[in-house]
Amino acid sequence: MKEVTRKLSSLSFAGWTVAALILWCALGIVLAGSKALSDQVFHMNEMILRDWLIRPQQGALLLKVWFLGLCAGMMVLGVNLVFCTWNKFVRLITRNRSGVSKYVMLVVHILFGLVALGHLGSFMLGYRYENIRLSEGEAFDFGSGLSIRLERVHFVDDLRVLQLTHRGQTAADFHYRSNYADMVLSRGGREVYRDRVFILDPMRFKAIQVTLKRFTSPRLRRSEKPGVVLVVSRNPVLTTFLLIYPFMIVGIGLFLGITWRKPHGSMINPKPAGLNQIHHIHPRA
Amino acid sequence: MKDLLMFFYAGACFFCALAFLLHIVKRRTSERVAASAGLVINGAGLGAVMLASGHLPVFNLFESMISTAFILLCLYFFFTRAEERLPDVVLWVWIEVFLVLGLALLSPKILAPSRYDFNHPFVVCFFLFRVGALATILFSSAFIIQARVQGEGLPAETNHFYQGRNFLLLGAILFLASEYSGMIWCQNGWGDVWRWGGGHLQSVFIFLYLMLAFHIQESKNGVRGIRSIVAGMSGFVLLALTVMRGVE
Repeated sequence: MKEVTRKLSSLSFAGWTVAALILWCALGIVLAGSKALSDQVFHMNEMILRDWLIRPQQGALLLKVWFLGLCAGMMVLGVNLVFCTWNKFVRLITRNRSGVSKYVMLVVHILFGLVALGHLGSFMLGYRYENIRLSEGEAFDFGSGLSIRLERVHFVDDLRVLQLTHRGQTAADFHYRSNYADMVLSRGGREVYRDRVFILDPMRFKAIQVTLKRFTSPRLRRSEKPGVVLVVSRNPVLTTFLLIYPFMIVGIGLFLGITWRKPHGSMINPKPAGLNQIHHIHPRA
Repeated sequence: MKDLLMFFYAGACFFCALAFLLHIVKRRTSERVAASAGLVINGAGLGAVMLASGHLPVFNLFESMISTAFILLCLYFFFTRAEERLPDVVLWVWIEVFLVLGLALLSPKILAPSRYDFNHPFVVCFFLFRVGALATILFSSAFIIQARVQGEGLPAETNHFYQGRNFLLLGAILFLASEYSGMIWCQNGWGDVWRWGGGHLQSVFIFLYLMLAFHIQESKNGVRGIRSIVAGMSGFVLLALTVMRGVE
C-alpha cells in the first residue's frame, strides 16, 4: 500500500501525466482546427457542457471521447496532487520544517486544485442559453418561471456598423459604452430585477448573468431599432473561482520573491527550488 | 505610416546587429551604446504605433513582435552582465531578439485595426501580459540554454539555470495574469470564463507545458538533462503558438 501511495504521489507520475495531457491537448487543437469538427467544437459553447455530454443528438462522438479523456487525465493529476500535497503537509507538520516558501508552494498547489475544480464546476453546474435573439418588447423564458425581457434598446451609432463583423467594428464607428439595452428579469411574471446591459458589462442578479453579445441589424429583424443577441447563464462557482485564481497567482509571486536569490554556498543545483519543490520530500526520505 | 514604421524597424535592426557584432568582439561599452540606440529607436517605433493607431502595440503579430523585442532589450539592460567567455547569456538574448525581429519582418507590417474594445482594461491586460510573458520566458530560455551549454561546476553567482528558473516563474505569473484577464473579458463578453476553440486550447497547452517544465524529474544529468531542454524550449513554444495565432 505504501508503495502505491509513493508512486501516486511521485514527481515522475506527475510529469508523465502532464506530458500525456499535453499530447491530449495537442490532439484537441488539431480537432478544433479540422474542417470536419471545428463547427462541432464551436457548438460546445452553446450550452452547459453537462447537457452537451449527455444528449446523444449533440456533438460528435469523437469530441465527447476526447473531452472525457481530458477529464480522466485531469482526475489522475488530481489524485497525484492530493497524495503529494498530503505527504508534504504531513512532513511539514511532523518534522517541523522551516521555510515559508514550502508552505507557500503547498498553498499554491491546493489553490491550483481548487481552480481546476472550479473549471469542472463551470462545465457541469448551472445552465447556459446562448444566442438568444430579442427585439424590443420580446422575452425569453428559461425555466423555473424565470424570464428575461428586452425593454428598450439605446443605439447611438450608424446602423450600418452592425453589418460589419466584430473585428471590423472600430472604436470610431462603434461606441460600446454608449449603446445599451434595458433588461428586465422576472420570476413567475413578477419583476425581480432590472438593469442596463452594455457590451462587456453584463447584468448580474445573484448567480444569473445576462450578457449582451452584440446588437443585430434591424433590417434582419424587420423593425426600426436594432435587436440584441444575449447569453443567459448561471454559474454557481464563478465568484469563488474568480477569487481563488488571483490568490494562486499572488502565491506563485510570493514564492518567487522568497526564493529569487539562490541559497548561498551551493553550486548549480540539480533540483532547483521551484522546479518541482512540492515533490522534493520523498515519502521514504 | 508604413514608411515611418519601416524606418524605425530598420533602425532598430541596424543598431541591434551592430550591438551583436560588438558583443562578439567583446567591446562591451560600445555594445551597450549601440543597444541603447536600438532600444530607443524600437521604443520610438512603438510610440509611433500608439500615436497612429490609438492603442497599445500588442494586438497583432507585427506589433507583438516589436513589443517583445523591446521588452527583451529592457531585460538585457537590467538583468545581464558581461561575461568573459562566449557563448554567454547575452549572445542567446541577441539571437532571440533577431528571431523576434525576423518574425516581425515576415508578418504583415500593418497596424491592428483599432477595434472598439481595444481600450477595455481586461482586453488590454490580456494582450499586454501575454507579450510580457513571451518576452520574459524567452529571456529565461537564454539563461537555461547557456546553463546547458556551460554545464555544471561554476560558482553559485553564475548559476544561470537558477536565473532562468526565476524568469520562467516570472513569465508564468505574467502568463497566468494574462489568462485571468482573458477569463474576465470572456465572462463579460460571452457569459463564460471558457470558450471551446483553438485559442483557448492553445492557452491550456502553454499552461501544461509550463507545468511540465516545473515538474519534470531529473535524476542524473543536472543542467544537461531533459529538464533544461523542456524549460529552455518554453520561450520558443510560446513564440511558435503566438505566431500561429497571429497568422490565423
